[in-house]
Amino acid sequence: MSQSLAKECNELKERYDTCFLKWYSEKYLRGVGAANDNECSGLFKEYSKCLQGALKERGIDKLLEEAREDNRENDAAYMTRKKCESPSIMLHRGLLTFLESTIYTHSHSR
Amino acid sequence: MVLTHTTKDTYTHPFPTVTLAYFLRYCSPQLNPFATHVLSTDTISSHVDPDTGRLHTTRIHLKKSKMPPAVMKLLPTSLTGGASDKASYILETSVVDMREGWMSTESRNLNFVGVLSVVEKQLYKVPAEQNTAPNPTTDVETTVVFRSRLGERIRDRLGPQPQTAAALVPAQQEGGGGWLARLGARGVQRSIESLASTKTIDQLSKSREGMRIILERLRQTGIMGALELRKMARERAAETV
Repeated sequence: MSQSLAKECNELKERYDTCFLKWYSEKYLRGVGAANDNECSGLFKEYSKCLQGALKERGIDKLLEEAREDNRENDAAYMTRKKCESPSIMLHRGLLTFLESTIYTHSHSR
Repeated sequence: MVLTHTTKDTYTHPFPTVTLAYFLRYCSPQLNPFATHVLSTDTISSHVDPDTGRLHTTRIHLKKSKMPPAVMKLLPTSLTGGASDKASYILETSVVDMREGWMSTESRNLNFVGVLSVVEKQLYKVPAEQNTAPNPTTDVETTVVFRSRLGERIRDRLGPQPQTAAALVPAQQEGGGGWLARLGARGVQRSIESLASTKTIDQLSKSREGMRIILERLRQTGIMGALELRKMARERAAETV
């Protein structure tokens, strides 16, 4: 796989990924890997332990929490949306550039 | 405001191979030349449900962003999530059910959600009528939902202090008026959503192209060949560092 977001976890990630892909293709896909505790569990624990610190350090744990909250908010907001304030009148060139670049970020990641 | 885009597609590969390609799609640029923008991929959870036999996986991808730094400086951290201006985090969740023959996936951006939230859902499945066909295929339906809440989020987060989103944008922008205030948050949101939708249609074809390349590789060399290629690429990269 590509790199881990934390360089120090690359080695552990690599070992886990290789194990996972083998298990997935040779066992799970053939219907013999349905057990939760598979041969990659140990490797995953080590990799995960390494990754936890990196997730905290980069604030990703908070982003994950927010994503969960957003889901709840979205559901609520969808039901009780109010009418909007002012209409859109002029789209300025600078704004368009800004929008396009913002959007590119997201659509590019699809 | 919400904009939705749905496409249907068929891969001329068996379902198990397609699901494997899904996990491999950001593996390395050697396997998928359309994945050069993916900086990192990490698995944060993976387990098989003992009752259903379904495999649940959660991963986080870090992808290169084309957002100009100047734009990022204009946006308050409440919008950017305090992340680096060079990349954005994508949360990917997937469920594979081999017994029933389907895989359901969801990807969403974790930062910039105040500007634009993009949620892509895919359902891969074995076509019901083709179970016994000599050349098995896999159907996929992709739905992307765009939602901008520019302006709303800021008020939500900061409460009554800044009354409009424009209050947080430097005053020199748009000659002091603040573009958000003039345009109306809803108008801007709609524009963001429709622009995003247009761009995404282009991007979706690239992502399909990437999947096809991996699928061809798997057909030619199998999983072990793909793993070997990945290993070689990694060693080459390590040598050049």
